Formats: sequence, C-alpha cells, structure tokens
Amino acid sequence: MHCIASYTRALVFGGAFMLLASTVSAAEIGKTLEEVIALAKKEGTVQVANSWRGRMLKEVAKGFEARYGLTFKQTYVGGISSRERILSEAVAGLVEYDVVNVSGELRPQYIKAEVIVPVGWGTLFPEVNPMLIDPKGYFIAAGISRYAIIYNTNTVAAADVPKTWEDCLDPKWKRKVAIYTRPRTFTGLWPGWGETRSLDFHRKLRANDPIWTADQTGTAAKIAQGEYALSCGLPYHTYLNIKRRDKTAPIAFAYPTELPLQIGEAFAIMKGAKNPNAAILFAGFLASKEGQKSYKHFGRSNPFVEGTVANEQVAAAKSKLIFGGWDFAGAKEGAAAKKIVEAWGFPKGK
Amino acid sequence: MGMGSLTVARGMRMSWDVLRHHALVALVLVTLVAVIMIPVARLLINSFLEGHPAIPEGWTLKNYTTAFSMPLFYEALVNTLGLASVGTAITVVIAVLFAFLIERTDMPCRNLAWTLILIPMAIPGVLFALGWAQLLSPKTGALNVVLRDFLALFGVSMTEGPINIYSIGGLIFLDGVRGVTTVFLMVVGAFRMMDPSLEEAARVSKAGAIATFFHVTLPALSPAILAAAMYSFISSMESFEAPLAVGLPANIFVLSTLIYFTTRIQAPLDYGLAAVFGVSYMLLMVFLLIWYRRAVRVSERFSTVTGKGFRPRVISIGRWRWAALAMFMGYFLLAVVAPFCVLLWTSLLPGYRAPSIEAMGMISLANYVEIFETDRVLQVIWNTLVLMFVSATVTMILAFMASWVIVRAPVRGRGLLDSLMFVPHAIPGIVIALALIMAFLTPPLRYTGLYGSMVVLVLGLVVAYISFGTRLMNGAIMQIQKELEQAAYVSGAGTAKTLFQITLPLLFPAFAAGWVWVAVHALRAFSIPLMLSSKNTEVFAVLLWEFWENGTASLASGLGVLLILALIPLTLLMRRFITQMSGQQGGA
Repeated sequence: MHCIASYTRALVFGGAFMLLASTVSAAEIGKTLEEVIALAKKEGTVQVANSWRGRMLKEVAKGFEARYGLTFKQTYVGGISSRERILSEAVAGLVEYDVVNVSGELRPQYIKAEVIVPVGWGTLFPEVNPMLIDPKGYFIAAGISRYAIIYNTNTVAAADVPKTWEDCLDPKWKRKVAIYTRPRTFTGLWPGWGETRSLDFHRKLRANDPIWTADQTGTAAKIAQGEYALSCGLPYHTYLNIKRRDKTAPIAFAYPTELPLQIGEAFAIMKGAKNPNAAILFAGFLASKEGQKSYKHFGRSNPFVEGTVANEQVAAAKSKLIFGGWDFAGAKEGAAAKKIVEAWGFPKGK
Repeated sequence: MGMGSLTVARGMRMSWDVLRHHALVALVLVTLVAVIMIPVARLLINSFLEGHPAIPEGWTLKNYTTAFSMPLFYEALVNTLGLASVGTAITVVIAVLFAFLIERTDMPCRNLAWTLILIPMAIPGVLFALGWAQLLSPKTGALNVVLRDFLALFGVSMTEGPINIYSIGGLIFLDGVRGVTTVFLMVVGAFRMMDPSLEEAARVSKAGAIATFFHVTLPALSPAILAAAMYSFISSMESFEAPLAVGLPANIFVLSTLIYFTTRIQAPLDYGLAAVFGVSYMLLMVFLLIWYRRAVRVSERFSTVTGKGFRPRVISIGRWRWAALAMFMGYFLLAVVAPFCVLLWTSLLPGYRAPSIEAMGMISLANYVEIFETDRVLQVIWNTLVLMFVSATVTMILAFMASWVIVRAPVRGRGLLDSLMFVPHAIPGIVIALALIMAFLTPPLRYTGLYGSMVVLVLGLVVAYISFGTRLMNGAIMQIQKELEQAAYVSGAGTAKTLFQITLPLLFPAFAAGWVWVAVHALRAFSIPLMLSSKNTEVFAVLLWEFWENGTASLASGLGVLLILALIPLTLLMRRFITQMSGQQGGA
C-alpha cells in the first residue's frame, strides 16, 4: 500500500511537472539579422541533423566559425526513415535538433504537424539565390541532388552504359539493374516527362525485373563490389561516398541525356529548438556563396551556379536539366512517388 | 469471549490477506494490461485511420480494402508460411538428431558439443544473415568465388553462383540453421529423462539401434518434439532479420518486412496500411498460438518422460561415431565459423572483397579504430548495457510476480492472467514496435513525452520476453513447497516480504537463468530497437544496421565481431544455469 501511494505521488508530480514544462515559452527568434546574430552568440552552438560525411564537415565548421564564431554538432541521419523518426519525436514533444534536413516527401507532413517554423530567409539573407528559398518560408535549400547512372567499371564497358533512361529497359539489363525503391530519381524526371510517359516507363522497368534495393549508398557499395552491374538512378553523392572510403573502387558515373535534379538539402528550423537563432545562421550560411563552395565535397553543389563542380559536369555532359523546384517538391512529389511505387507493385502509401 | 475475540481477529486477518492478494492480482493485471493491451488496442484503432498516427486525417476502411486487394500481401503471407514450414522441418530434424547423438550415444566430445551448440545464440540473426550474404552473394560471395574456381577445374564455367543466397532457398537455409539451438534445448531434456525400459524392451526383442530409434524412441518423445516443432514454427513466422538483409534484394517479402517496408522504406510512408498488416499478422499468430497450446496439452497426456531419476542408457553407434561428430562439426561450421570468419575478414578491409592475395595486402585494424573514434560509440555501448540490464530485471520481476499470482494466489482471475501472459508470444517483435509507436504518438500516452526514450524500448522488450519469463517461473514456483511460505505468514510476514525474502531466494537459479536469457536476447534484439530507437537511445543493432545500409559493410562487420565476442561469454553463462537447473553435467 505504501508502494502504491509513493507511485501515485510520483505520477501526479511528474505529470504536473511535464504540464508546467510544456507551458514554458520557446526561445526568442530575432527579427533582423543583427538580432539573430546577437541571440545566436548567447546560444553558442547548433544541433544539426543531416547526412554529411568527411571533408564537408570540416570545411563548413571552419567557415561557419570564421563568419559567426559559432560551432555546430552534427548527427548523421540517412534516408527517409530517420527524418520520419525526427518528425514523430517532435510531435511527441522530443525536439533534439535545432535544424534538420527534411526529405522531400516529408516536407508537407512537417508543415502540417507544425513542428517547424517559417523564417524570413529572403529578408535575413538577401544575398542568397531566391531559387533556394521556399516561397512559404519554411525551408532554405543548400544542396541540389543530381541523379546519375552508377556502374561497375570492371563489368560494364563505358560504351555500354545507358545513354538515356529508356536504355535501362533494354532486356540485356534484365536482373542486372539495381533500382532504389525510394523513387527520387524518377520523381525528379516527372515534371519533364509527365504522368503518361513516366508510368509507361515504370511498368516496363518492373517488367524488366530489376533488383530492388532499400538504400542508396549500400547499393553503390554493391556496385563497387561487383555484385550489381549498375544502377539506373542514384544520386551522384553516393558515388563520392564510395570513392571517399576506397579510392580504388571500380565505380564510375554517367549522366543520361535528361538529368533530373531535386532539392537535396532543404533545412528547416525546428519548433521548440533550443538554439533557433544559431540554427538560422547555420542554414543561411550554407545557402550563401561561401557555404555553397563546401558542397562540392558532398556532391550536391548547385548546377545552376557557374563555377561549381555540378555546373561543370552537366555542361560537359550536355544533358537537359529537369528541375521541378519548390512548386513540385512536397505534395506533388509525394503524389508522383505514390503512382510510381504502385506501378512497381509495392504498397503505395497515402 | 476470548475464543470469540480470537475468531473475529482471525477472520479479520484472513479478510485482510484476501484483500491484499486481490490488490496484488489487480496491480499485476492492471500493469500487464497497460503494457500489452493498450498498444495492441492502439494498433487496431490506427488500422482504421488515415495519415500519420500523430496527425490522423480521418476514419477509413481503405486501409483494409487496399491491403486485402494487394497481391503483395498474399505473396508475403504465403512466403511467411512456406519459409516457416520448411525452415522448421530442417531445424527439427537437425536438432532432434543432435539431441539424440549428444544425450544418448557414444559420439565423441559430447560435452564439448553440448557447449558448442549454444554458441549460435551468440550470433544475432542479422549478423548471421549478413555473414552469409557476404559468403553467398551470387557474383562476389567468397564461397561462390571458391566454388566457381573449383568447378572451373572440371571445365564448368560460370559468371555467377552456383549458390544464390538472395532467394527463397537462401532464406530457408538461414532459418533452418538458426533455429537449431532453441529446439535442441527444448528436446534434449526429454531425451535425457526418457524411461529407458522402452528401448531395452525393443533391444531384447532383437530390434537394432536404428529401428529402436525410429520405432520406439522418436514416437515416445513425439509430444516433446511436436511441442518444440510448433514453438519453432511460431518463432520462424516472426522471422525479420534474414528476410530484411537477404529477402528484399530478391524482392521476397514476408509479413514482417512488409510492415518494415511500409513504415520505414517506401515513400511516402503509410502507418494505416502497416497497422492492417500488423493486425492481420497478430491474428494469424494468435490462432497459431491457441493451436499450439491445445496441441501441447493434448500431447502431455501421452508423455513418457517422467521426473524419476533415470540414468539414460548410452547407445553405441560403432563406427558411425566419427561420422556423427563430423556431421556436428559441419553444422558448427555453417552456423558459427563461416559467418564469423567472413565478418572478421570484411572488418579488416576498407570494403568487402572476395579473398585474394591482393586483398590480404589491405588488411588493417583501421575499421576498429574508426568504430571507437565514432562519437556515438560510447553512448551506444552504454545504451545497450542499460537496455540489457533494465529489460532483463523488469521482465523477470514482472514474470515472477505474475507467476506467483498464477500459481499461488488464492484468488479468481489467475487463469485469465495465465492466458494474458501468453498473448505477447503471439505478437511478432515488429508488430510490438509498431503498436508502441502508435500508442506513444497518440493521446494519452503522447503527453508523457516518453516517445523515443529508453522507457519505450524497455517496454517493447518486456512485452517480447514476458511470456518466456512466466513460463520459466511458473514451472519453478511449482517446485517450491507451499509450506515454506505458509510458515512465513504464520510468523507474521506479509505477502511482499514473503515473496521477496523467502520465495525469490529459493527460486534464484530459475530467476537468474531467465535473467541471463532475457539479457542475451536484449543484447541481440533487432526489430524492436530498429523501429523504436531515437538519437539518444541507439543501441548496437541500430548502429550496425546503419553502417550496413550506408555501404560501410566493413564497419558493420567490425561492430558485429565485437558484439559476437561480447555475447559468447553470456551464452556460456546460460549453459551453466541450464546445467544447474536440470542437475545434469552434460554428455560424458
């Protein structure tokens, strides 16, 4: 009985404490850049969730600290499931990051769940290219993903590499092409192809019996090992990830005649973040000209900006760029993904 | 008047005892209902909702119509049943054969074999699958490379294979070999305790050893074998790690991976649909479990295994002794040595490569250095140890209390509690995780702020292992004489004092054996941590899978090697407790 009474008391007090804690006001966010900087200096550091590795981390740390005197702590998160977990945690009141790179398909859910806050990005950072700023104010893009054909150089001759996406449907690639089941490459093509051409392609792709894979860098690793011959549609940065660990890996990339682009890194400030001002400065820095220079190490530099690695590569490939931008990212991308996945025969989601 | 006062006092005392017992039963029932039934109820509710569990978009039946009109669902169902059936058949044949050879024959090194057969439990299912994926990947698998070179000597030229682990056959192989230890542990006691007079009668009638085995020994032990086979079948039905690691590249879905795919991989994610898969899966498993319990009760009537202290007769198998030992070593090679060696090999390279002189030149400990330089590793190790310790302790204390109520408490509701304790066994780990996600993302549990915390992880593992704990403690409590507790009551001790100061110490071997079993399984747990971990509660399994998914098989392999080395001593500790509990010294 004594134990029950103690347990009950603990529950009551714990519940009261949590209720009180939930009513404590969130950190103040500055309205001008000067205010943001002043508040950020009090915060000192920023917790970031994204998928960087290697040299990119050092370069960004150096540049960010040089500009604002602030540091950041990165937690590696990869794939849609980790961003979905961050969303679920935030909804349940657990906000562990200040700024998160939100996956394309999840952006509408983050907004709907009210776990991120809109920011006047254009006002605070007028030098940032407007194409990188979400019209609704929730996201600022720092990285643009470009999708390529990644292949093993020991098993696939350069002359045999598909030149177009339709070349991937050639029966000679039956059971040889690895396809990532999250269709970002193909939702990237959707704005240029339209629904009819897209779905026709995907039904034929399914009929060609590809190897379905559940992760992108793992797929690239298996291509490097020689287990898969090639993949039609992996982000270029997965190739870089493999080469970073093993420079001798027999893996190469090629851009088809139509090159899909997606907003690869869209940062949002979490509602209830402990360091929101430092987070705003961090995201703004990444979208700035100086921050963008670091993206060459991550394989997501902006192909629309002259002088970047991406710009040089696509110019050399002479590919037609297909980019849906902010208008397509989010709900339209989600709808396209559902139709593609259904054409592939997987559960299509809602 | 004195007698009247005494009677009244005694009556009041008895009423107070009954009240306390009822309060204890109520407390245990309420706790277990909350832990088990609330998440299950939430899963059922969410199967009728659209959208994210935390931001539902309205009631719908579309989840059910979509699921039941989806060919992939039926394909996954057939794969699950087929894999479990054939895998179980293989498991039972191997395990029964080894139980016979180790307990009843003069096979050499029987004591060593008894210990070695436990070692596969030290290799988590996901590592077993990843190891064999590296051995038998069709083009680059180490074993396939060797086999192709061997076949080339005979003029057979192949560009891939000859064995492909990414197939239904590969999954059956993994499942069949994995389950041998558990089934062995379930039947070996029956072989030891079998009344030898039946076999002696057969030998007197001039029946040979093989005829005796097939016509006397096996039929006599069929209740125990059947119970073990059905348990193994149910466990195989929940299989997740091998289908995840090896099934998806072959486009082979089972129910568990269909749920994982729907909530973690596909874009966009769909919790409502996953909830329908989870409910269907759970109902199927409940049906199987009811069938299992009925079958076990019926078969126990025909048991020829007694509690009397028979010394089993050792059967001489002559020159087949060495063949038997070779067969056992072959199994050990497949179950332990081969996967461990390839994981070790990969952990010493920058990336997986088939064995070659060139690859040997790249061997280094760089991956291990990188693992320990990873910021999160110390946190991950700490989280894993906390999860292991807390899960085992909470599970066994709850199991002890529940079992005491089931076996001893003179109150109504014991039968209900006993049945309730068996329900979690019917809920696959992936469904437990999904149910807890939904429970803690929706009111009222959402407001506890516990989502993503270690509490939810512990809850998941407690639900997963409570059935085992209560089965173990039920049997152990039955062995304790009631008079010991009654003596404590007569001396003035209360229920709680009696339970924890008299009964529990007497049950220590069983409690400790259960604790170690749960701890080992918590350390190896995969599906529940994979679904429920957050940034601050990552455990070994989650970090390992992240390394694998991100193409750093070498880091995943290194972490796997470290985990296996940590699990081996714990597994051998289990052997000690099993020996102590059964009073046997292993085969001579």
